[in-house]
Amino acid sequence: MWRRRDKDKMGIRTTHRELEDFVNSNKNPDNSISDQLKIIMDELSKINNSLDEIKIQRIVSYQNQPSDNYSDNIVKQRSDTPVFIPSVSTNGLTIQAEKLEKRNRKVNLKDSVSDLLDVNE
Amino acid sequence: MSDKKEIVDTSVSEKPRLLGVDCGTMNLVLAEQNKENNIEISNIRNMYLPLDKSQLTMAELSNIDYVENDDNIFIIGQNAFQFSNMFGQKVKRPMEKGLISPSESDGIDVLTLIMKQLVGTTYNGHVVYSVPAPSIDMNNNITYHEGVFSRIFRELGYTSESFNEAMAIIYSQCRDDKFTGLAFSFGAGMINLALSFRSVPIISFSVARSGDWIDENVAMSLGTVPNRVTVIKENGTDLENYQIGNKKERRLREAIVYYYREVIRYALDMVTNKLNEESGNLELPESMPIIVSGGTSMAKGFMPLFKEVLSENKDFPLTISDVRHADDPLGCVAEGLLIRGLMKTKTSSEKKNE
Repeated sequence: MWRRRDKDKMGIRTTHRELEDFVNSNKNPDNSISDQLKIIMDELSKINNSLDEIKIQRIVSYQNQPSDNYSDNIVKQRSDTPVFIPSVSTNGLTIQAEKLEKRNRKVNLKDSVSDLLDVNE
Repeated sequence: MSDKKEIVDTSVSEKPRLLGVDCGTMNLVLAEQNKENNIEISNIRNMYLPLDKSQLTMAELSNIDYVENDDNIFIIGQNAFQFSNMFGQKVKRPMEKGLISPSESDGIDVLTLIMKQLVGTTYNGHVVYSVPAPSIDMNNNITYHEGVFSRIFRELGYTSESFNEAMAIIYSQCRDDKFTGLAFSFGAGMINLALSFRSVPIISFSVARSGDWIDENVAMSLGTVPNRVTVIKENGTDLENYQIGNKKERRLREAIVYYYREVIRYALDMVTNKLNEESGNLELPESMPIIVSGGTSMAKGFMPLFKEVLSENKDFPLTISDVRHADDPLGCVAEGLLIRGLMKTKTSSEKKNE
């Protein structure tokens, strides 16, 4: 959440500069302060909407990813509330390690699970 | 040195992970489904070797997995095993006889980092991990053990649940037998057994004699260290023919065969006694398979020896249809735990949809 917020802050800062330029270039001595404020508020609202739109697009694009991965499809449905991970308590120990080697086994998980459910019933 | 804070961006969608983790005395084994719908198995030795920082240079550590603090280096995994023989020191183990070791003060911290290396961190994962059944030949209790593993997984970002180790073998190996069978897991710390009828555990217990017991007793009989026995045991020992290697090795191998035979006999006797005790209360199928797994069962000639000792047990109360070795004796528990996790997740999601 923090990283995301930082990114948003940077985006908003950039847009603020653009907004300032926009307001300066659209300064009209005939406009009242409230008119100018309205223009600014409209622009801010557009920025907020576009940020929300980006968030929604990211979530939808993840959810629409085609997947034939059985566990992926099942686990997606769990959707446990995300937790903010605290530091792992290891009393000052740190680790240096290579990536683990993996081996593959072909197993029809889908059939195993449905057979298990059938037997349980 | 302070622990480094790890911050996970929970607003970024990450693929939820479901893992089966076999928490063994000698090996920690992970099973996870990959994109190709295969099961991916990885394992790491559950051991470490503490060394003073002055004993090794940074260059020597470049290809070694290790954990460190200000004063010490703890070499982990397979490297710990290799270095222990080089330095003539005994490796330390976070677990003993299937449970968290009561004697190693650094053990749980090192275990946490070894586990982190195996499963990584996430914020939306779920782990099904193995626990042993209560022992019938020693006093033990899995409450503390379960609590420690649950806390480790929580800190790594996973919710978790425990499941019986031998029943996990039934889940992964007995699909064609309608999840009916007698499973033996010959681990390092203990033997776990479960008798299952249509996926329901009928009898489940553990005995505190297995691979480590063999190593310790062979070492005691021949005046050597258990590490040395483990190396000989895992490298080229054929339980049908111990006449391999030099004279000293042949003596070790001969003793290894005798203690292997004793472990198998003891396990089969315990099953016989337990089934005889319960015989009035059980309705068992006409016949069922025996499935053998675990790292200790991977020695060459183990299965012929097991069948030989089984045939000598004239009182064995079950009719056995088949005696077979698990497809992957080291990975089948983790595989069964993954299947258990998938089944439970599917059941709960179906209930939600109703």
